[in-house]
Amino acid sequence: MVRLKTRYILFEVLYPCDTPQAKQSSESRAINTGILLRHHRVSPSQISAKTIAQEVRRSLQTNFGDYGLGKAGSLLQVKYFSNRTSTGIIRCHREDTDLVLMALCLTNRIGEVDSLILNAVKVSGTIKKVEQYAIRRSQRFLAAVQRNDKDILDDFTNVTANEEDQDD
Amino acid sequence: MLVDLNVCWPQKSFQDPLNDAEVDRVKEVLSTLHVLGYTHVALNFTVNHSDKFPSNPNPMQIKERFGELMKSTGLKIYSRITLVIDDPSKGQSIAKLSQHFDIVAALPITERGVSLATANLDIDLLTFHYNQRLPCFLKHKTICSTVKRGVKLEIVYSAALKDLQSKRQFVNNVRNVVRSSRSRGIVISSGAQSPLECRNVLGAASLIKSLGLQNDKCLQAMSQLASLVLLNGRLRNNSYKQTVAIGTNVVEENSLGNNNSCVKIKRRRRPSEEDPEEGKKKVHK
Repeated sequence: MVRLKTRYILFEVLYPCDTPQAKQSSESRAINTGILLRHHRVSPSQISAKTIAQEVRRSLQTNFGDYGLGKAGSLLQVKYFSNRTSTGIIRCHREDTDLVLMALCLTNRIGEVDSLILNAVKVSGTIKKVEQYAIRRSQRFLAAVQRNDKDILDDFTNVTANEEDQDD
Repeated sequence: MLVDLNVCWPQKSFQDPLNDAEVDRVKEVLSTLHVLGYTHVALNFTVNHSDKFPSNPNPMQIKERFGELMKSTGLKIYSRITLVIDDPSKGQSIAKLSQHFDIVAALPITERGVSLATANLDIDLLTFHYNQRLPCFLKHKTICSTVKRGVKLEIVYSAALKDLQSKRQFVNNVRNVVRSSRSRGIVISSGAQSPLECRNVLGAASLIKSLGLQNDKCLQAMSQLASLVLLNGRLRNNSYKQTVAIGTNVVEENSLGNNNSCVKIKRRRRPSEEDPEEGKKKVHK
């Protein structure tokens, strides 16, 4: 008997478009901080774990049809979503990770809220590692905003390699 | 480092006027790419090959317009020109253009254009309209010989984020390009006109991976190979015969000339490699 293999996908909702009030508040800040804060906004209450799951299913249906939805939808579940930080975790079957990643990549809206990017950040085999990664990532993000450091975000791609060395 | 070689410049020809709102939009796209982790971005100016080139063809003024953004975010911005090749007989020499742009790309829309671009045009990138039919059937021989020459093939994924018809065409075209190049020398870029068309490595790589390109090549296509295109293009203007240049890092802006240490950049060929392009340039201290 083989164990059921799953993957956990950490994603975040980015809001790249300017709203008038965001523009006003970002003008007083340094450019880099303004950019970061404009993209990482608090999600409106229409977005919840339920609507995200619906949206992923809808995107699977339009892009991959009945077969894709049936294949990837079996284990699909939104494990966690926080409106405050606009980050969440999706669980899916190991073989269908790519389908779910593509479904996230190919959509620009959740329910009625549109003009957003669903940005998948990390894929892992255990939910614990995803959580740890999310915490580290948001700490670095906060530090970047506070210090107004310019090259913090560039280093995000290296986070896995460095941090895993420490864990070992 | 993560490279995006294709952010659309709003002007459609040399005479097109440019307003501030459009420049702001480009800035928004650039800042979104920065948030997604990109470090090197090229602005893409698409013109017809048969248009008359003015004496100063580069309208971007990257330093003046984006200098502040580059300084605060650490993003590096380059210029690229894409020539839409329709009728080769009407085209002009591109030697004059290549001095003003970092990268020169070709976009053939007829069969004769494809044969010109693949055979003897001095370009860095070959690209296609991914939301329309390819101009002709791409043969292994022509595409592979261009890749061997050092020209890279570009996949632009913005077509996959539009309507259903262009999605279908995108899948069709990408499979053709991957097949005809035997998945060598492929570069992935966004072609973003609005900030909503930007995707990070994970999304774009999984998209192209499902269309038949191996996973490691997907990741290379957005980092090493794409930066090789930048290096190639910049060496054309900044080096002696594309082989020797002074400075520590030729890809970086402003590093030429103001550094005391000298670095030799050599062209090398490793015959055992499957892809000769990768071992071609090595930086030696």
